[in-house]
Amino acid sequence: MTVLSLTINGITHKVDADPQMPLLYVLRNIVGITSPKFGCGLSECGACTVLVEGKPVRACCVPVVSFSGQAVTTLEGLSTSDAPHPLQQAFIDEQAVQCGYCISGMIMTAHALLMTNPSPTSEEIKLALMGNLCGCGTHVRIVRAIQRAATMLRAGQST
Amino acid sequence: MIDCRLSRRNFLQGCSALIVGFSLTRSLAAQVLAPDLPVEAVQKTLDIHALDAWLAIRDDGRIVLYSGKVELGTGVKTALCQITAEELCVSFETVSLVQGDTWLTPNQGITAGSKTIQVGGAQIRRAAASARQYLLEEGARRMGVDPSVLDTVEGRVMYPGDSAERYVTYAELVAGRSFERPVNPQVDERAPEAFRVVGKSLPRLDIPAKVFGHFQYMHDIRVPGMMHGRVIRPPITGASRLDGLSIAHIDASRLPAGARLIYEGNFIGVVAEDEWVAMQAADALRVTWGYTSTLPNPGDLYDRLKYMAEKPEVQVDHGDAAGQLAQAARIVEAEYRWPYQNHDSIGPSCALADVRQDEATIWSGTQGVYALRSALADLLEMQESAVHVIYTQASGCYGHNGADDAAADAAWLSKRCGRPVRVQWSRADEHGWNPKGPAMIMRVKGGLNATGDLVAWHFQNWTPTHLTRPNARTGAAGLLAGQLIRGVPLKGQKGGGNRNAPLNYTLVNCRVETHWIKPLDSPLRPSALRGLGAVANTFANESFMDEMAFAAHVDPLEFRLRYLQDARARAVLTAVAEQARWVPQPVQAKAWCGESTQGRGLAFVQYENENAYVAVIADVEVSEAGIRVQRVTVAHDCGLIVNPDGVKNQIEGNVIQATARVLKQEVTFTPTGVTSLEWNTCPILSFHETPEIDIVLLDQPNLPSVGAGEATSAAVPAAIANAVYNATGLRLRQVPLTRQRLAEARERLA
Amino acid sequence: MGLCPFLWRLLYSALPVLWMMLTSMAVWANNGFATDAQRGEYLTRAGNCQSCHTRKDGLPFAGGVPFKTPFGTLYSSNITPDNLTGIGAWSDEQFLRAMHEGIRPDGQHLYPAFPYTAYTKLSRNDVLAIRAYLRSRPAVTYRPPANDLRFPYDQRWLIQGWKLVNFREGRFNRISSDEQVNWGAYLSEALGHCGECHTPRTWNQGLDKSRHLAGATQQGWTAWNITPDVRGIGAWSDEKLLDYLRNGHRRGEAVAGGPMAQVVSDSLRYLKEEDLQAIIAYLRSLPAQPGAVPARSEISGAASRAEDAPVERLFNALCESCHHPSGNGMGGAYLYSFPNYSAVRDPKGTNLIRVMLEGLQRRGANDEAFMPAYRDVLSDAQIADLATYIGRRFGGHTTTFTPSDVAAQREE
Repeated sequence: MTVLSLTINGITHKVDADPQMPLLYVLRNIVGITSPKFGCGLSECGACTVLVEGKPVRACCVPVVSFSGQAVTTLEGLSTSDAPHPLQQAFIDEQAVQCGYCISGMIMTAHALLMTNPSPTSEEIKLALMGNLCGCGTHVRIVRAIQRAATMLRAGQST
Repeated sequence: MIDCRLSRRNFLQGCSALIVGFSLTRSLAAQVLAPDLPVEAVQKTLDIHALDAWLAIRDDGRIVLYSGKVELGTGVKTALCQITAEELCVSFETVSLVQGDTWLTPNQGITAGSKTIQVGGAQIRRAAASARQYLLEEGARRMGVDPSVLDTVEGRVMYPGDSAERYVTYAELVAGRSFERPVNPQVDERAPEAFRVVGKSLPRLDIPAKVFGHFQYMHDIRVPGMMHGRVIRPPITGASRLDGLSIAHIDASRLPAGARLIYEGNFIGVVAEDEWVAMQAADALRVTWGYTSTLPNPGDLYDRLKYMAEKPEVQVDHGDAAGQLAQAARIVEAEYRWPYQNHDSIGPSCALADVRQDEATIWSGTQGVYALRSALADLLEMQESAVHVIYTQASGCYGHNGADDAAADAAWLSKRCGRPVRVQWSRADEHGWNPKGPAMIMRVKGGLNATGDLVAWHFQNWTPTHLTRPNARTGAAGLLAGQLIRGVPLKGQKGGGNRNAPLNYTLVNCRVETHWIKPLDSPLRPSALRGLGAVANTFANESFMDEMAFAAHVDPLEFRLRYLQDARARAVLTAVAEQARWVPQPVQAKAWCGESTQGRGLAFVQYENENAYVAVIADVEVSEAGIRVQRVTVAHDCGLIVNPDGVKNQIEGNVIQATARVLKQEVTFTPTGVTSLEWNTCPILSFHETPEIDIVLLDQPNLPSVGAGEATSAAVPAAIANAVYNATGLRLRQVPLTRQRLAEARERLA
Repeated sequence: MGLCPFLWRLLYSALPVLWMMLTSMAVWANNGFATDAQRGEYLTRAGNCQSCHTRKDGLPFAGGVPFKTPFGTLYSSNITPDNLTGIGAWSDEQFLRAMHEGIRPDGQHLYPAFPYTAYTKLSRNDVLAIRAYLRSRPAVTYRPPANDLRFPYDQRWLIQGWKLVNFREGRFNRISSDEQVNWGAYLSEALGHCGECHTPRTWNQGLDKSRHLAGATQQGWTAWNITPDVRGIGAWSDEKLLDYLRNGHRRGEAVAGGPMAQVVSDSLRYLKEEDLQAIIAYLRSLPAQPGAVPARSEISGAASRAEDAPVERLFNALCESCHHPSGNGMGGAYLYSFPNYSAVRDPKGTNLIRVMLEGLQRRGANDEAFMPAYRDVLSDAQIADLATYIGRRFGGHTTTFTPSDVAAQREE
């Protein structure tokens, strides 16, 4: 076991863990952040997606030691329910959820996309989401929600 | 640490100290206590005839609805609250829902078969209407006026004509007491013209918590003292028959510190305080199994199914199909095949169990808390009353996935280690071991007379049962853990495979037969997957209807309408044709040169022959790279629509799932079991493959609501296959309609 | 350390047989072999009989693996002791004749897809030990499909002519005064038959001895140059080679995919270190052959261009989560790895496209690897775009792959 320092959603945590433990289990079981979900453990489904230094990372596959000293952002870190992030508001507005198990990963991937490309075409959104799977078939709404969020962000409604 | 466990006795005594303990298990608190609900208020009956089983009115006027039907991610929580608010004349916001808890909610059966609104909603509507009737009568008594002059508005019984505007609130009328009244089965329900809440696209109640990341899924629940468990499975992954198994040797020498091995029969598990240690332990264990495989080679599956089938059971026998076929001017015959398919839960199954000497608490994403309770009681050798099953929403299940089995795994490991145990299945566990939507064969023979009338229809299918869910009848045999621990063979009852085998077309000479295959004779463990047999049967029926239309040289839409008298059936077909601008199709098959080409196809179904009407038009692009569905137009009539956007969300999901099922999905296996153990070997539709979806909802406010959760899945496959035929002249009869099958069909034609 | 140690369970559930074999290894790992069958098991592994005689989804040694040749498709035979469909009824002499002379008990010639060109060099005792081991395996009743060869290649008597040109019957002869090199040569040439994949073929599908182990493309996969050239294994340390042979990869450097992954999983990972060292010594003793694929030291990557943006999205979504090519500090098993892969540097892109289509599943001595197959997930155009992008950005070449390149690979 090793004590590692992780910055998660702006808060620095000292974590005592096996350095090879994938980040996902550190977040869910040690830090208590449960929005990243276990889906496949193979980097295939994207349910565990978090942002590390702004880039989407599959937390299920990468050892925690790789993130020492880096900034990790999860869905919880995007906003509060009083001041939703435009992506969150857009997913509510579009009712772009069925069971919702994939949604945390979807929003985090979309967040990374919108940070580098504020006006993505629907084709670009679909490409960015190639590594995120939705079993319920909420695809159409998810793409619409991300487009709506992009519009909101561009209009400066960001909080 | 505070003991957070809740026994039935002290729970009902409602001591406040317990609530402190519950702060550690947020979702349990939310589930049991509902927002701000005093514990006393939930000392309640579960008798479905009693009003108190369904509803409670709190002092602050809030309404608690107790639903045995549960939110699987389809939006029914919102719809059920809408129904309650409508009938009870309260604002939607005042209704909260407690769902799926064997201590708290009435037994409404399993949440499946698109029956939550249709059956469960109807029960709840009657209960809410009965409550309103009681409140009106109580109000009248209180105010000293005749109930007929009173009305109910926003949680109050009012006297509208009264100059003093007298009213009494529901909370005052109930005053913390229970109703002590039966549900009135003949109660008057609100007239559709007066609907304020039902029929509106209210936003779903569960979505905000999900997008803010604080929704507690099954996978997120933790209780103090909890261990993490993993189960080590035998070879012959996913097989129905596990009787030839034995453990020759377990080498636990590499087990990491802190992990403990637990096994019995052929069930092997590891538990550890730390989930990562439990995962490493499962990897470190070396098990040598003895087994005999009865699985066929992949190419022999359909022969095996036919070989195993029983004598046919006649579903429909009108007129003289055989006689008419013998005299028909033209006979067409075709065989269609459907593969084993998987439940596409993005989150593999997970459960948590705390099993003690005299009582057990199990948290599960099960579709049936009562059915699971019966099976678990048998597995744990406990009284049913000592087993408390609490539903907690998991990842979408689309039928009988691994949720119940994971609950049994957790329960057994908890029983053996004396601590609460959380079991999380791996992706390979879920893809390998969750019960599979059964493979099926459909053979149809049709006859036309000299003038091109469809004079005879003979449908036969070969299908494993789709019903092997755990329940009181199966006991432990319905659970994977039970099969492995006790060596009891999988049990099930006959059903599901004949769903929508009969047609809704009016045919004078029609025979429909089903050759059933017993659960153990299905190579892979069969069970319910969204739509059950209706999906494969409708794929066959509606593909064949097209084949007959072309044989008769008639446009497929016109051909179908000739044999449909039901006005609602005709209406969905007409509506979809209008929406998609259907033009009669050329009746000569195209010769395809391999260039990219377009086509469109049509299909119709009345789900279960008596529920929702669905007509679908699919537009496809076919090239040598395969089939791409560009657009799907759906006309849908499910009676009274409670939440139109909710219905649309379900239809969209059905279209996307069914498109993946028909184009891409097949569980692959070898004599040593399932080999499609991750997503890329059994893919779901990716974003760039998603068709545009255009939906026309035909609302019927005066007709009962019927299910909208499955019907569209039945109509989509044939619409796509028919579109491929329209585009290429190639008739693909074996699902999935892959690029390779397309190439093979082209080669066969050439 | 594997990417995800629990992935092993995935492999495990698919291939339970491997485990039973692994567990039985430990008994004699450090000692001599107690019986002929045990010695035969080791030799059978070293010769990797299993990979070619076990079809996908089939039982071990029951055959049925298709081999596509320019002349049609051949299927490997059932070598389990089944009397009817296997080789249970063969005498030892008949088995020897097949291995040493390429002749069936009925006197017909065997197609040289079965590498008797190599096995002819095996000692009589070693052949009989392999025979003893195969006889100890469970009999499987399975008749592989009949060969599907075009006329006149379906005429077995023609093989006699082929043999005259390409086959010299006879046991192994020492090639060096260095015993380690000799032993390595025996393991590589008589038993392991490396040349069957790594040596280019002549017009008549014989091995081109003048370009021994210079690299070749077989069955849709390219086997790289493994001579001491700088474009071969010249720059590899012994330690790196040893790691590669027994684990199928060197962390962040080369990885074995396709048939080589199978060779590692079924064969090399079981070999004793001194045997692997002998193979290395032998390879080092060979003349260097010029290679077509530039070495890591010869190439430099390119920056992404604006027009790459769409494929970069795809790359971010699907590849980067495991391969972490940008070196931004994240770990994982394959850090900074792309330019190290010959598949990426090869301007022909054969293995790059192939691995995207087929994925990868490999078990090494220490760890396992898994890459999902994208055959059913990505279109031809998407795979072509990714291969072009990866080749350009990390592989130092500018080949533009087209959807039809990918479509052709799918058919292989």
